[in-house]
Amino acid sequence: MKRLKALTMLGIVAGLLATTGAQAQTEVRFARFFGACEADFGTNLDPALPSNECGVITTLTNIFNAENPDIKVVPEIVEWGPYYEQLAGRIATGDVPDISVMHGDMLINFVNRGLIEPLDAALEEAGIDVNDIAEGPRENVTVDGQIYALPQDFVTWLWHTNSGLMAEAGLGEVNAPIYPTSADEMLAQARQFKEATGKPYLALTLDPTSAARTLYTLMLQNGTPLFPESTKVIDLHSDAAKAAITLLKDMIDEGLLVFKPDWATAFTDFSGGASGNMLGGTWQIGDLVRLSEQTGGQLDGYVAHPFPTVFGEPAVWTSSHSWVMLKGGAGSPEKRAASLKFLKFLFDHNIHWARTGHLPMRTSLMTSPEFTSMPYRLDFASVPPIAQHIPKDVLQQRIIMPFIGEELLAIFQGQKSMDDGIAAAEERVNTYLARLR
Amino acid sequence: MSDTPRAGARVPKLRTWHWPELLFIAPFLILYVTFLLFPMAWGFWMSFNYYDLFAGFSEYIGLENYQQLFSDQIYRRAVINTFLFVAITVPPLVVLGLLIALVLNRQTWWSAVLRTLFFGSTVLSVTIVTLIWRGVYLPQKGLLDNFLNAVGIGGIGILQDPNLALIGIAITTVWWGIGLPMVLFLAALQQVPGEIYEAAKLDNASPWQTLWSITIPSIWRTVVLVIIIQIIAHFQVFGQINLMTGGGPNNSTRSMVQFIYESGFRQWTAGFASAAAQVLFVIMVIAAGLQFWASRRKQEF
Amino acid sequence: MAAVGKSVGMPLGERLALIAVILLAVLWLLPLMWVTAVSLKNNTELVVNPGAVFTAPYTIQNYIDLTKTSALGTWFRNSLIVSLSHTVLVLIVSCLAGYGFARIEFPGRNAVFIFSLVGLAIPGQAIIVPLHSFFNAFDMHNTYAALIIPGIATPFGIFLMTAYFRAIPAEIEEAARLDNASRFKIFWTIALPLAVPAMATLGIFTFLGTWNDYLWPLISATRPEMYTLTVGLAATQTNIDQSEGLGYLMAQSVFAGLPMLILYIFFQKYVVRAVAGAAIR
Repeated sequence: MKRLKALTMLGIVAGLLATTGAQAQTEVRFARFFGACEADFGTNLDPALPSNECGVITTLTNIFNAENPDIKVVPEIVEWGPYYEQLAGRIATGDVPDISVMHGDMLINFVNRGLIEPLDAALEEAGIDVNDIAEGPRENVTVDGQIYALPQDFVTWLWHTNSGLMAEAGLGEVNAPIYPTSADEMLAQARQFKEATGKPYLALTLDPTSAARTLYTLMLQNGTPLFPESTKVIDLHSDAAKAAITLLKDMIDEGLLVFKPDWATAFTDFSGGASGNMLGGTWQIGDLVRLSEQTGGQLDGYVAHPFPTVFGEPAVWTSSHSWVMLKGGAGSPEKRAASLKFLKFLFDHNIHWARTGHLPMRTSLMTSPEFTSMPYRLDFASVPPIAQHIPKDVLQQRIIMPFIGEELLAIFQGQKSMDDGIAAAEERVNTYLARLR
Repeated sequence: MSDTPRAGARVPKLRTWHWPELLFIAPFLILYVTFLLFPMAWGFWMSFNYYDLFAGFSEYIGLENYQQLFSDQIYRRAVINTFLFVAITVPPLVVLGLLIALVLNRQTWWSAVLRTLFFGSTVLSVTIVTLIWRGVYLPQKGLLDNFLNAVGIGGIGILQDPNLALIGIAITTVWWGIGLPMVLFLAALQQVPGEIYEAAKLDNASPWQTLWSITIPSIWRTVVLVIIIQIIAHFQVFGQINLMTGGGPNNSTRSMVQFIYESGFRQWTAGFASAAAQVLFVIMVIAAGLQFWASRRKQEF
Repeated sequence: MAAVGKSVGMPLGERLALIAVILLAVLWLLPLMWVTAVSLKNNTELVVNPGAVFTAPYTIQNYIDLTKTSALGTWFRNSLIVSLSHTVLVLIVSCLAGYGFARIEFPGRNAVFIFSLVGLAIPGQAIIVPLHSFFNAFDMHNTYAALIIPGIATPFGIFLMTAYFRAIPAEIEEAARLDNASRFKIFWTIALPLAVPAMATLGIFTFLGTWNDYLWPLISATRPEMYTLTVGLAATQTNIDQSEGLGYLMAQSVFAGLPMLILYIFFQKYVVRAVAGAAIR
């Protein structure tokens, strides 16, 4: 780490020296979400400092700009919610960014409309070793044999664990909690935990997408896909789906699983030791660690662990962030070269992205000490083989996941019966998908 | 509103009109047709098409969008939510606006300060207002939950509760929008001639009687005007909902405009969104017509 | 004015109404005070202790952080440019047409006038999809023009200005008309100055409406440097669900809201008088 820091500093000094004689800079317009955090990281050049998405990507951009005085990567930060509407709008008006972040699951919607350039040739030109990209993320951005994006990570669904509390309840040791391997075991452990600590075993935020990811993960573990017949027709009334919903509902009714009204509350409560585990995503690890440090250590022995296998087959929901070059962007050869250089830079520094909690997408990094020595992560090496994307041909996943989740939450909170909720979710998803051409 | 200017009445005819004088209304008519009527007509046409805003692809599909729309549970819910929202937002805006105007209709320094306060929130933009109120409603950390915890009720997370979220947004909206009705009522009250009140005083009328038999009838036109303005405005509620709840939880706050926005720009089904927009248009025309009729009728007493 | 009783010796009903309004005022003020207090707190402290906002220490760190991000200034400028230009154009178009409808007796005037008022029933929100396509066709999104032009021809403005001009006695113009002054000259030198109160009303309404507009800029201005304040602030709101930066977010809202509040406090007499002078016609 020290060496890296030194190298970076060297790069900056070189950069500063070069700036004095700099020619006109090539501007790379970099459209992304992840938020704006200039206040905290606007001038930061130390990649070890930030621990969230915004901090890391801002810092990486700063470093790249410092190392490449002839190039200026200009972040164009957009709200996460309407990011894709705005991106599509920019494409429609010909105001195309040179590099854009895109969730792997959104790719197909842009590829189908012919809006994205295949990257195979460009990646080779940039010197990016495509074979080092993990199978799952790579497959997720490959359409008809062509790669359309440079994946950045595995984003997965996991359990944040307060191993101190778990140990108190006899569920393992601090920093080495034990996890259930079946639904019955999960219920038994949850009851044992509640008995011993008086606290709920699991916490889940009232966020539709989170509920949908949880269901998807459990269904995968049961060997049942969401879209068994075609990518246009969802099946949520399979036995696997009902078993998963029933399990969660039972836990809720017994007070073993509780809801938190929003992420802020979920974070504060969890780091204050309010529950044994919290369902969440990889992107929260860095923030949780910092938060638990700030709150004075009630979160004793925090660890993050891949979603336990409670239904047979190990499997977990995953998604990937990726970088795309949209058609019409990076028009001139200079811009294209500069953009590719930035992509290569992001590829080379993929390890820093893992600080956020996401898994690096480069297979070579999975076993590197830089990654395996990152604290708080238990058994992350097991994730890549079991991580499953929702089939990439399913259109508009960003829209249908909340549809599923909203109805699930209505079931969980007793606003709808299981059958009604399932029927409503299926109807919403299927009519929407049928409406799309 | 009987004061719709009926053109041609009692204007002395000194000389006839000249063609160049049409330049007075030409800019308006051109812009009006181009940016209001034409998009309206285009939207109407769009509603019979499958229209992909971003691929620029469109295909005529007849009434399919409408069929889908009317069988869409979420849309039905959005229509109900919108009516509900208007029903719980407009009455407090009108009643509180009138109450505040009645009380603050005096020339003292403190009433001036209070008028400033009540109108002050209206000049803030929707994003600032929602920032403030999302903060206020924040579970556990917000002002509301802080208060409820302090009095022992415990936090409620109002925006996370499907039974309360719409009310939460309505409260925010009243806080934001009270300034306009208040100012309109104040203006109307100041037009009421003081002599009427003098006469009432001589008759020993109670303030309550004065209010009902003099003040309210005198400003009745304004009351109706305020109601119309508020209904029309809140039928189109969008910003607060999009920013505070995004239509959730359990679809309890999704409004008709939110639905149009989502289906057109988020879900990429612009034709379908246009169909929803036509329905909004029809409802607005009916609402405006009803109000117009009501205002004419009531005015006669 | 002050027709309903004096503050001394008020009857009970009025006293109750007064107390109710004062209570309301406190309710109105509370969120603003709370937001200001939160904006003056350390972000971490807020995360750890929800009640921290009510006790010292306070800090202006969040405001210092604000100055480090320049975007707020750009968005503010965009909002100002868009709102002012739009308002001026609405006034020009509405005054011209209002005068035209009120004074020029061209054939079919009634029909055209009613045709113009039909637009009152078209909600702006109902035409955003086609309007978006329309500006798309001319490659005009992400320009000031796209943010300014829609809504310049407002039936409400026509309605208001026509009514106002019609209420001005025509006799005032007679002398000038007998002198063979041109219509435009009469409009410019005689009618328009008399219409200032109505213009103030229309102007203030339009300015506030444009300043607060969210939907159209949200879909038309997709580049951060073209954001208006409403859209820009919305972009940062996504973070509110995370624990972080609550104080910072609230500092933003105070910072962004303050100029309008100050402007309003300076011009409030004018605002209220303008509305009083013309809205209730």
